[in-house]
Amino acid sequence: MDKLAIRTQSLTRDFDSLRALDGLSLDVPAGIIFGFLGPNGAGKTTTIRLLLGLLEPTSGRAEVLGYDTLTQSDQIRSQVGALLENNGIYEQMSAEDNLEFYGRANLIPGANRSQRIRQLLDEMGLWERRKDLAGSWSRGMKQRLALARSILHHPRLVLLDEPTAGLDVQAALIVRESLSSLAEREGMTIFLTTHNMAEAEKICAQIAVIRQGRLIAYGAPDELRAKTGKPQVVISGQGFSEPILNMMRKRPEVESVEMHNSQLVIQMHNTPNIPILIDLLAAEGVQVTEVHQGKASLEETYLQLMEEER
Amino acid sequence: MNTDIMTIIWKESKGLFKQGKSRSKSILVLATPIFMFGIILPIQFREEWLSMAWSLAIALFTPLILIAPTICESFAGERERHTLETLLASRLPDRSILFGKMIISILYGFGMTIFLLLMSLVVVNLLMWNGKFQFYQLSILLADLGLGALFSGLMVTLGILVSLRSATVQSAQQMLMMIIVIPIFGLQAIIFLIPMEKTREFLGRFNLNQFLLIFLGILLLADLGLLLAAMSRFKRSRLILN
Repeated sequence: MDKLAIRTQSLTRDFDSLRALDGLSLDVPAGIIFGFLGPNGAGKTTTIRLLLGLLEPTSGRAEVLGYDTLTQSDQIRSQVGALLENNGIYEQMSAEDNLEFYGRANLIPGANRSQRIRQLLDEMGLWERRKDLAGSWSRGMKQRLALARSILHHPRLVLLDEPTAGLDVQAALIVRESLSSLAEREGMTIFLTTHNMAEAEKICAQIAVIRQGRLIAYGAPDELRAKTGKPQVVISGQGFSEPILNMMRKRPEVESVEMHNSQLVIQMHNTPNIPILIDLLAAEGVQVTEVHQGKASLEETYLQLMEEER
Repeated sequence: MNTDIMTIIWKESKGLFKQGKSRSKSILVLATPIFMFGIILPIQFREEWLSMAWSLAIALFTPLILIAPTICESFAGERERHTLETLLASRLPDRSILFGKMIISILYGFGMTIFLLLMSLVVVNLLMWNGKFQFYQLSILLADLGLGALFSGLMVTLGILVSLRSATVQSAQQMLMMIIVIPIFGLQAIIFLIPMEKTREFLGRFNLNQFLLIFLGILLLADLGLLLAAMSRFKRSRLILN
């Protein structure tokens, strides 16, 4: 159990007649960034609430850092940091006071508390504006402040519910980079839910995908792509036209054909025979300059998983 | 006092005194009882303010005016501003959060009650100075303090229960004011219908001390009952589901 940060066994939660989480069994190894993916209403937030002991399971059980969520939730909350769906920032208080409050709440002694607050605000690039009311900040700054708050007490595990949702590209990048460096430097386990596949692909060592409360895939991003991602051929060149695309679509080994940034992206049902594809295109007058063969992206894998479950 | 309760008091005091939603609104709310009970009414009633039950108005209305907005901001405000779930995800125990928020509101309401009793005492003495400092009749003072403390407790516990059922601060405040003000106005309307002389004659026949003791006893029981109800409802799992 020491090597696992989270273990759930047939974890189920009903809200009246709605089953929000359906028999989730999951092991999250310690010391990694773990991505928990799923569409809206899949049960991601319910899972986080169950892991924090804020909700009781209808059936099944969960252990967080070796503690039972039903009987030892106080110990869990004292050793876990959380950034939930809403950032939970007190907008009428300054950034420094927000951290001061949660520092006191986590029983960090006075001198260490001030030092830690300064360290985190510095790292997040917020120190200069520490006296501002948090309500006057941009969404990205608030999110970084909330991230600082969630790791203030050196938790062994941090639960993050869509930490980059609603942020612009640059703000999301800063939060993502902060997460990666924190996980590496402080050796903590990060369990994050996200809609953003590119984000999950970049920073998560392992991923679980849920839909309608049920786990539908689990593993490293590469493993998931290998299991479910279908072969893909990306062809660069000149002379692509709609009749040529339609001609390719009619071929039995081809699943779909799309143009992306002047490149022809062909999803195959099985391993492609590239010379035949090139010959076909050349015969139609296409000048092929580059051919790239690979697996589908995690986003495509995710969409495929969702499609299969329908 | 418990460290966790002190932490909540520290946090609530920041919102209460330093960085409230609207500073001018907060000042206006605070100025109203100071002007009314600290200056106007003592000037109107003079020495009767110290010897008759008029000063009970301070103990009755100060907690009403000051605690109603504070307690609703404190509880319904956490939900409305989406800070409640993060607070509940911290290691702070339910009871510490509840008691910390209660204590700061009671200190505010009851503290101001004591301040206004002292202020009105000074005003009456300045007006009626005869070389000797006049003080409240002991039974009146005890009734003021008892009523102030228990009515503050009533406002706080009722405010919590109402706030836990309200989606917004505004709806919580409206509901709380309705629950408190309607019976008071009803009673006031009955008193106003009877001529002042008859009221005085009626009150004169009555043993005021006994009447007050019974009233304080009922308030104490109401406070305890509402406190138990608030403690049973202020639980993480219930709050998250609400």
